[in-house]
Amino acid sequence: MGSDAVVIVVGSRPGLAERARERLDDLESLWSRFRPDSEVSLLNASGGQPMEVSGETIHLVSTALDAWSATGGAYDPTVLGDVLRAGYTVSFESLPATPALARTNLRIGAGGIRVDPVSQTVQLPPGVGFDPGGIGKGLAADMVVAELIAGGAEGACVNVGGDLRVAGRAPDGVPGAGWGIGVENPFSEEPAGVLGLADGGVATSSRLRRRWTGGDGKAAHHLIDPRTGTPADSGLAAVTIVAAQAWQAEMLAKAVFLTGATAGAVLLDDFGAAGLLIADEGSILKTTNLSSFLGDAPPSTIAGARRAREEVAS
Amino acid sequence: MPTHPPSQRRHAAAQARVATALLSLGGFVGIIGAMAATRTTASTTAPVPAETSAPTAPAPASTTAPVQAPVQVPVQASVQMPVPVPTIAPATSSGTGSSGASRYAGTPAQVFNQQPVTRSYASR
Repeated sequence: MGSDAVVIVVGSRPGLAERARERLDDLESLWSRFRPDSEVSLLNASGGQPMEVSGETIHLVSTALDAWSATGGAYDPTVLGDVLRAGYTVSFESLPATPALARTNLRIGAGGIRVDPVSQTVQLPPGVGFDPGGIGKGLAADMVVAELIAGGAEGACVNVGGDLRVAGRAPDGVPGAGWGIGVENPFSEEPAGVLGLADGGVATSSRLRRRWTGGDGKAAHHLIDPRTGTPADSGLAAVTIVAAQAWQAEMLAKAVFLTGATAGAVLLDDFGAAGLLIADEGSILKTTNLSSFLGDAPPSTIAGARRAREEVAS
Repeated sequence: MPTHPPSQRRHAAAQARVATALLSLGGFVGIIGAMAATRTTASTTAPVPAETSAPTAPAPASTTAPVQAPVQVPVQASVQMPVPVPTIAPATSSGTGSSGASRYAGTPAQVFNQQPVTRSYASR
C-alpha cells in the first residue's frame, strides 16, 4: 500500500505484534495496486470477467462500495484511470518529479461492480479500474486491531500510513485514558491538535502530500475529484476525521476534502463524525463535536501558517 | 410499493442533501471567519445508532468489521485557547450526527493523554 505501518500492542503475549506485522504484509500482497501479482492488480486485468478472490478482498471491495454509496459518489474507488492519467503510475517512492502521464482508457463505474460473497467473486465492468486508495489502509488497520484484540491484547493501535485505528487500553495504563493522537498540520512542525480517543479511527487527507508536477506543468496530487477527473481543489489543504472505524474516517476525509468545508460540515454532521479541516490559507476549522476529543490547543496562527505554506511551496 | 424504515428515509434525505451540496460547490466559502470559538462543555446526548442503507449502490455486501457501540461519556472541560479557533456549524444538516451520533462516531477518551503515542498524517 506504499506506506509505513506502526503497530502498538498493550498487554499481550509474546508474538502477537509480529503476527500483526505478518498480517499487514498479507493484506499488502493482496491489495496493493503497485504489485502486479496482487488480487487488486489481477482484478484490474480481468477484462470484465468474474474473478475469484480472497475473503479479504471481498471485504475490501464491499467496503469500498459501501463508502461510494454512503458518500453519494464523493469517494469513488474507480478513479484509477484518472489517477494514472494524472501521472501517479508507480509507488510514490519511485515516482519521478515530473512523471509521464499514462495513456489509459480506464473509466469510473463503481455502480457496475458486482460482488458475490457466495461464490467469492468480484466482477468489474469492462474498462473500469479499481483502486481502493486510502480505504485499503484504513480497513487494514481496522482488521488487524480487531484481530489483535481477539488474540488477547488488552489494547492495540495500528497506523498504516497515517490512517489509524485504536481500541482497548492505551499504553499509559491510566483508567479511562485514551490514546493520544497527534494531528499533522501541513503548515507547521507542531501538530494541529492532539486527540484523546478511547476507540475509533482517524485518517488524514492532504493535497500537500503525494504531489508532483504533471506532464502539462501543472501541480498535481493524488486526491482525484470523480466529478472532474482531475486533482481536487476545494479550498482545503488537509482534512482529518475521527470516526468509529479507520475506513470510515478515510472515506469521510476524502469526501470532505473533495467537497470543501461547507458541504463537508453537513456531511460530517449527518454521519456523526468529527473533523479538523485546514484551509488553503492555513486557518484551522473544527466541527463542534471535535471538542470532546481535544485536550490541547492548536498552536498555529493563520499568519504563521501562511509563512509555513510559503516555505512548503518554495 | 415498498415502504422504508425511518432510518433509511433519513439516510436517503441525507444523501440528497449531500448531493445538493456537491452540486453547489464552488470552493471554500468563508463561513467561518466571524464565528467565535464555541467549545462546548455540555455533555453529549445519548447517540442513536442509525442503520445506513445504500440507495445507489449495487447491493454491496455488508462489511464485517465490528460496529462500535456508541457510548455516552463525559466531555472534557474546555481548555483555554490562546487563539480562537472557529468551529463549523452545518447550516442545513438534519443534525442526525450532532444530536445523536451514528455508527460512524468514535469514542472519546474519558481522561486525556497529553502525550501522543502516534499521529495521523497524510500519506507521503
